[in-house]
Amino acid sequence: MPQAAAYPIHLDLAETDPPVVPHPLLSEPGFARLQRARRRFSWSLTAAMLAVYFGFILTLAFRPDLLAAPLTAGQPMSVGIPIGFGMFAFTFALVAIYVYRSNTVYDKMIAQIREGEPS
Amino acid sequence: MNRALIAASLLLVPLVVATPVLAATPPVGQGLNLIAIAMFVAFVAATLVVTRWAAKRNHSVADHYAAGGKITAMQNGWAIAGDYMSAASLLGISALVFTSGYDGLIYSIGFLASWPIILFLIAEPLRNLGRYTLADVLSYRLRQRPIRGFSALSSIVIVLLYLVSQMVGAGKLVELLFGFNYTSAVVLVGVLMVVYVFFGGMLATTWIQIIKAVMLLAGCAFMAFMVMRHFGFSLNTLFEHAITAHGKHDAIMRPGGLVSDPVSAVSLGLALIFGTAGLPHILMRFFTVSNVKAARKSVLYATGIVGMGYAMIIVIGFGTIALVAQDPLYHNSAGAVIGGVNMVAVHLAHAVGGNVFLGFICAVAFSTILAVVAGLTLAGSSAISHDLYATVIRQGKASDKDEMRVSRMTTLVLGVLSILLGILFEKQTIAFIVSLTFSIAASSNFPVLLLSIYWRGLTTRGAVVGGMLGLITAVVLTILSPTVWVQVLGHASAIYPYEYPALFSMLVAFAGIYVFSVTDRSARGAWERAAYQNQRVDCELGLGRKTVN
Repeated sequence: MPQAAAYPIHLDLAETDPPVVPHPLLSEPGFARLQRARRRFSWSLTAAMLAVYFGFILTLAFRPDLLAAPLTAGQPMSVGIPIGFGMFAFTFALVAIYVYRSNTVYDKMIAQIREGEPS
Repeated sequence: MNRALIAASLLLVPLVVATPVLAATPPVGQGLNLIAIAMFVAFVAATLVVTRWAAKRNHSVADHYAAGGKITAMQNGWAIAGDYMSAASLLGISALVFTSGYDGLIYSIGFLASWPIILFLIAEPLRNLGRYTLADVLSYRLRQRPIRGFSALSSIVIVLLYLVSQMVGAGKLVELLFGFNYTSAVVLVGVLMVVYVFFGGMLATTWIQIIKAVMLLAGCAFMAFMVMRHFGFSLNTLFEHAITAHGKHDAIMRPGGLVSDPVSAVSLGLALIFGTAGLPHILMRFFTVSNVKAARKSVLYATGIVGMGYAMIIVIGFGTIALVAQDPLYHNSAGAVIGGVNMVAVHLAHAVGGNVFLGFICAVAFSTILAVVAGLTLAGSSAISHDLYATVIRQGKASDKDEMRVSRMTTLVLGVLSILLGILFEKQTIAFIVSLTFSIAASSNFPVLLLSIYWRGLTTRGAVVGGMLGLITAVVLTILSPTVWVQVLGHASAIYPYEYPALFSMLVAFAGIYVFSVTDRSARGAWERAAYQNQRVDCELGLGRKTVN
């Protein structure tokens, strides 16, 4: 089965490129399902991270007073401190969710598809 | 030959150490910092032992660029964390907290937030499609020669700028910490990094990075613990003392002037969060593990380690306000901090741990620079030897041996070049260089890499033209910004009014890539779009990588 450009690399020495032969797995419903699920998952988590991060940055730029208020009256700790450390925790939590789900769900789907692939 | 050269470089260390210029700068601690020098020499000796061990296992191109793919997830997690936490992290962020309190936290949040982005969008496709460099991924369907030429160029620009900033930092740090002169410090760093990479390749570079990261984190943990113990393990007590000690009083508990105007704020945010995903020395770490699962897990470990490190550095920063700011021991007669504000963490080390711990932190700070420059050098030399030499020049016909030879020659050249640039830039204000590096990475490598993975319509023309436009825009806007145009070049007012270019340079890059791709009517462009579907299969399943290197 000729493939488009697997390693070792295809060099563009020829005048014309060989026509692309679609990989047989592209017509497998299992592959399409996997790809849809993974991309939706990855981009959702990315959107969550960007929303929270730029939410924080824009709060800094437009309403810094929101972060400046004391957490409890009379104490020096401002609201911004737990929010700042919370950003660390949130970042790590998103990464952990991604790794957990990939290890438990998507790796199995990938293994199934690869098993079925004639090679 | 290996042994002889490594032995020769070992001889260099006491040579440089034996000629301290004591009169030039006041030592950071009390008297000549012999403990610091002893610890530093011990670290260098350990790294040379590691390099010798690694050199015996460094036989092929796969070993040299990617440690044969044998690094475990945990090891890679530490190495990534090490690459990421340069001396600037400990010294720079604690200094930022020292001068303006809360603002120090903002930087570190941005640095950490880039990791999820890399993991969710880049890490696994990179591992599945590539082998040694990011150009391997780009050239899956794009034309080998132009795309590798572009990628090598932008990677070399990033690596050289980053190297210069590290070299200048190293020279000044060593001048201060150990008392020997700037030029010999720069030469020492250059020689050591060449030795590590030349002989030990990726294996040595990785292990040096791991050792340093463990030392750095242990040092930070001890300092943060001692600070907290001093204040009865109460953050509120620490903050109270910091507010009393600081000239800005309770302003240090809230956001200050770091991100005043929204455009600069968003630009800085973009550069921090997307720049890391375009740094070649970070991306190459994903090729050193055996499979995609290990790559994924290494990001989890790295995020945990870096996150903990930054949290501790913030505590250390407030600790410096509470314990260093008012102590005359750490100030000169004019009332300024000895060695400048970047040294506050070093002073704190003395305050909480005495001379021995001060020596340890000095050695850690310097070893951090050594490990980071070694990684940068390897990334730079692989861009030249793997992308430019083996593919563009020799068109894939170079033997393993030739490629390795060119890679080592490039390492030598990069070493000499960074020593010369380090000396040349001694007196320059280089604070803008690190942010420029991130801005370029976010505007050239990152958009091209992202779109090559996720956009069917990308063609070689769009990638090369758009990527170059992004790179040029980032450089030009930085030159025209207040930090360079006014502060370095001495003009009255800046042509580009904002501090950071990323918002505009990323827009230019993405727009450029889009326009020059969709208007690409060539047959090759059509082929590249058609080839995307097969790339999707390999991207998800990694079929091209059934065998590990």
